[in-house]
Amino acid sequence: MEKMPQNNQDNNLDKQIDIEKNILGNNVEEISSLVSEKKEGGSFTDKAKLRASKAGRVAGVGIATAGTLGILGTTGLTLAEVAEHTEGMGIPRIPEHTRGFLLNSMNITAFVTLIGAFGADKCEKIIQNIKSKLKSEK
Amino acid sequence: MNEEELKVLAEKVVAGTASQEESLLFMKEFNALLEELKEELKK
Repeated sequence: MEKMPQNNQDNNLDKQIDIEKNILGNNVEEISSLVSEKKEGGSFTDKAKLRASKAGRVAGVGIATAGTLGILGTTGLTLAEVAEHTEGMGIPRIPEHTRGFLLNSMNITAFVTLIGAFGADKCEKIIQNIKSKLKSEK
Repeated sequence: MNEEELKVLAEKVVAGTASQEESLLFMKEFNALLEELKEELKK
């Protein structure tokens, strides 16, 4: 097989990365929308919690890295704000599993913003939706 | 890809030290995870 020139190969990878970033953005928006549609007090399946937990932990590593490098500001969030919500301050009496799920969703949103899936405005909007959901679940 | 491998790649992607191949692989794997989450949320 003929080998593709390096420049063409790089451009092709760039395009594929852009496509995956778009899919990431769409997935997070859809997840946010599905979370918002959950009825108040409605529970998430165990598998949903496990998946959110895994994605949230991976996102958490990305956020921590960004915090260390001082680039978290690109998400429209501060490390203190993420930490505050991760600690659960100001959002008492939410069942632990629901709170954990929503906080994982917030982490995932901040993380995909960091890697360029969408802009800070959209990130802020989704985070606000999740925060509202957290408050309504009190 | 297991969770630890995903975490290593997440760190590299955010730090800007991942190669294009690694970035693409990470995004595909993370998207697959989010797809699974989406399907569960629809139940």
